[in-house]
Amino acid sequence: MVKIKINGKTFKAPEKSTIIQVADDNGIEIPRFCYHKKLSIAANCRMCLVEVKNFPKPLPACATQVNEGMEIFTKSKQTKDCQQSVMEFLLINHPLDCPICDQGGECDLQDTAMAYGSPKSRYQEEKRVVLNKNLGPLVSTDLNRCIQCSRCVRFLKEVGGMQELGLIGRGEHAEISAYVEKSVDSEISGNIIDLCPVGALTSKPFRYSARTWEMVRKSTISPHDSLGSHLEAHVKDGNVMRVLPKENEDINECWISDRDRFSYIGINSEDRIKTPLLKTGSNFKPISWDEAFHTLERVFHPSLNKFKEDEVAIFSSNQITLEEAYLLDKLASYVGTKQVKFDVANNPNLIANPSLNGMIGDVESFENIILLGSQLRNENPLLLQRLRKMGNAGKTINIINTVDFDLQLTVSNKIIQPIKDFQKTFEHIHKILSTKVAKKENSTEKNIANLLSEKTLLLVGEDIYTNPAFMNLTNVINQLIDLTSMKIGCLPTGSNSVGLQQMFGNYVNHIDDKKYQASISLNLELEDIKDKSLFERVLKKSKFNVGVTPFLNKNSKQFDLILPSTTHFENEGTFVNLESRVQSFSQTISPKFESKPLWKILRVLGNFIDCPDFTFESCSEIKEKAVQKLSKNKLKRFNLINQQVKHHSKDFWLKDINNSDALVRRSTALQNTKRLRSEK
Amino acid sequence: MNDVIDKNIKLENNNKQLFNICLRTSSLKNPGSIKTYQSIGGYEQIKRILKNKIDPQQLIDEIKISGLRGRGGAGFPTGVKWSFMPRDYDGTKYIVCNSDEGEPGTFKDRDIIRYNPHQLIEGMIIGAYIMNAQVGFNYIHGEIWEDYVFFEKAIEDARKAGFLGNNILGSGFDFELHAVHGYGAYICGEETALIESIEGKKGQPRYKPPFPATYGIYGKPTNVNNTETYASIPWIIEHGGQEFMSHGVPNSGGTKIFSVSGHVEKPGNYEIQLGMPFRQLLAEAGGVWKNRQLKAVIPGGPSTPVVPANIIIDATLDYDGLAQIGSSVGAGSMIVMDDSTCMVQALRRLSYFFYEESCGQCTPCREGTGWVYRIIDRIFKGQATLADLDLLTDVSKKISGRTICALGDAAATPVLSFIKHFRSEFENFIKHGKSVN
Repeated sequence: MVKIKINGKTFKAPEKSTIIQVADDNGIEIPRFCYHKKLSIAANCRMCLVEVKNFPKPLPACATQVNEGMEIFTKSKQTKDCQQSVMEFLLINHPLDCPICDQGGECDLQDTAMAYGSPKSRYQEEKRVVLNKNLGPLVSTDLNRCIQCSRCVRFLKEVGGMQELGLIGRGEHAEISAYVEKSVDSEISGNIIDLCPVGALTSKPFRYSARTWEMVRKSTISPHDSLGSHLEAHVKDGNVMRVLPKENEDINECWISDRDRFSYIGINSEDRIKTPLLKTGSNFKPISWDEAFHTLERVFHPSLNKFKEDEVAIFSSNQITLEEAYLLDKLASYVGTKQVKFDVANNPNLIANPSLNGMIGDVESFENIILLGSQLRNENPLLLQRLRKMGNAGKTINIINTVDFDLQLTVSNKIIQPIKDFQKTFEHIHKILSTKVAKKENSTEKNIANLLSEKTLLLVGEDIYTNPAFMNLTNVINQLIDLTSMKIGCLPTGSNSVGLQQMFGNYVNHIDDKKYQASISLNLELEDIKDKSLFERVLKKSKFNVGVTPFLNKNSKQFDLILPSTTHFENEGTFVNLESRVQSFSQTISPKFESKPLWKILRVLGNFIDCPDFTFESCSEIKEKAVQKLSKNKLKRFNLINQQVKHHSKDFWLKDINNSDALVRRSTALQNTKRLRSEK
Repeated sequence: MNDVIDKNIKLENNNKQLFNICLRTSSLKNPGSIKTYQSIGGYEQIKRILKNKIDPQQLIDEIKISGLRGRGGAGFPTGVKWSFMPRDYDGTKYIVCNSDEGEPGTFKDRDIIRYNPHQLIEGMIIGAYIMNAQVGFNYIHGEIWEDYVFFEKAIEDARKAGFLGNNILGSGFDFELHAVHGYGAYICGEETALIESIEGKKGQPRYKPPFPATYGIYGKPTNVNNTETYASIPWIIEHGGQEFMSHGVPNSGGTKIFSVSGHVEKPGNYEIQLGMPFRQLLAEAGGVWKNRQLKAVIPGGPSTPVVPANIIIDATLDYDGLAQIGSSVGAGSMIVMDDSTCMVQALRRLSYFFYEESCGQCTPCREGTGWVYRIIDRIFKGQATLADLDLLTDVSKKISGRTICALGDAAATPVLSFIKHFRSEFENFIKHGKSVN
């Protein structure tokens, strides 16, 4: 720690911290544009220049490290003169038309100009004109407003992993541009909208639709991946106008993925189902909720229709909430079925409680990461961003996979091979480590073997730990754990995968291929299902199929009764993220049309069929019960729970980040992005 | 006051003369060849150093004694700079020769490359030996392409003669030298922008600290010196630091090339013993042309302050002498202006240069240089008011000292010095809408 003085007051600061960090930590305001705590230092805007005693020139607070005894003045005459002059320089070529700018009201430049600028401009020359660029369907440009702070450039390069934007041209002709008419294709590109301190980069779907002060901020949790990113939905007139990240250092830091940001567009899709629909002949006719529940009563009430064991099949998406899962579990036992596929995106379970086995932030404390399988860029782009950070910091990222994905990070060792060869590879690694004889070997396996220690984390992707071939792997991996004390973790992908695994601990996520009396499908579409043919066969043979879904879709025709559920933003509930963190969220808008949250539908269904203990009056009441069922076991080794292989789809299923669920598929902006881009 | 310079004037108390160190082969036949250089004792110093394994510290001490200062403009003592390079660094170290002279009026490095490239190469090999660098680059300005091609050939000749590559002259010392050409951007002459450019990136200065000696090319320790600085080294090692020092004056050791251009009869490169009176150099350059009178001189290049005739006429050309009259040696790019020169037009041209060459990275320079140029342009077009002169001064002051690199200062300097010394001429121009010379 060093002692420094800011404006005459003494502060203690960690060594090597910069003036701006110390000021920020102590609530002292220093204006800035280019500085961002998560990006490298550019020191190019010069807004944070401060007077420092014994230095002839003002110093940039963002780039100057504090020294013992340093005296800094953030309000002195010299500092103020610097701030005012930089502000004047920034504004000479910036349009002074805030009322017609989309950023107006939430603009750093506007705010800082009010606080530090001069009310009058001395510039009377012509202003620079910069032609706008088409960066794709998500980010809109208004480059006349750009102040060349280079935050967007640095973000895409450092956090996004690929320099998709650059500052081309010199001097006044310097402008932000993509490489020759290319779009920005990063799966986390939307963050440059937030980073842009002016109105140069704005949200293409949102721009000019609302002003910041007209919207109410509602917090929610991302339904699109297992990270559980904290989101802030901005609501106006009962509609989500846009979604922004809510900072949470432990989870999403200050970023969100593009699908988190733009999926809301799907809420008002034309596919939304307005009322319950009953199949009559080959058509559907709208019915009331009352009629719908009476229909369900006739099918599922034990006094009217007594099912034998396992005569009902239940399919569910891995995005249903913990509360919904709790009710579903009760309903399933009530109708006497174990045929519950609670995560249609995956094969039946092979191991118990797959989860990250630690906190997201702790991943960065390891020295080596071995990524076994996983389509991280499509599954969990913000976790990938953390690995990228580790790679940049000189830690090793090692990959063993069946497909050579371009993860846009520094990879130390890479083995690409069919999954059947994984066992051989791990046995080879084990042999290298267990045979004491120093073998003269120069192989990738040897390199990886040398990295295995308690500072190494083996992360296993969902594709791998649900693949039957994984059963042959667990033994050798467990031996390696014993030998090297390396740590393990799994990468489930659904927003509530972990919660559902724990809630349905007695089930194995499996459905027999046979004839059923009835089936229930919850918030899913054919595209979400890994074993599509099984699903279609079951529905074809089943006597009565109920589909609960917000949207009409390809498989709607197979249902006999369709109930309109809400999308995520109209729902409340709880997700358990991949680190087993329980996170609840509330409604951001009221349900559209006559749709109802799934938990309410299940709750009323329970009443109609006289399911016992179904008197819950609120979601939080269900949550109280539900969380008691969660287990918090940490995996030290992989324990197989399902030795009998049945109905595993062995096919590799390439996921597309912008095609991952019903809402995302209906976001027109996301649908216009370049798709399946992480294939090589 | 304007003086007529008597071309045959003999100055009293003057013992300073033209003296070629960096350009010492220029009067010989086929000056740029390795043969010519070796005929005057070239490459003997590196042979001696490698054969006797002379302690690098001893050589650094010799350079410190010589008083050699960085010839690119900043004038930092070379011996001190070289001692900043970490000795026991485990990894590649680089040395870079900065031949990216791009300021209007600079043309000395190209003559060294053209007429005495091997002295430069030997200087770099000695520098590499002293700083234990394995790789060197000579970054040559993109607009002197022939010199780049010529230097590539010189490197090839030196390599063939065994002075470059692995195990030089059987000593176990390795050094490889590469020529790199820029594309003509002035900013790439700034050492950290030059490093970025060598790395293949856009030439933009880095924020300092860290300095190149700790974080240079690819993050490795790197030394950057001017062409003339490196080219002086073999002579200093040959004749000793004291001898070099004695050619100049205290605090300004040795010789310095002045590239005299503008309104003189014989423009060209003149390597002088530092401390030579300005009058004498002007006389060497044939005096002011067309029998006109001297009006002003920019002694070190456009980034150094302009000096009116009556002040410069009695000055001596050395670091202290020019500092005393409020200017500096800079790169020695002396621009002489006769009494027909319109200072508004001259400043307009210089400001356009800095406006055009700003890299655009940091705010004051990117926005300020364009603003400054446009105000001067308005004066030149007769559309300005007297208040614009104060605005011009104020804007320039707000660029100066607030930018990442020295280009901000360089752009502000001519504006401030022109208005300081020739304010009345600017005022007249504004009042009458034209030059009143």
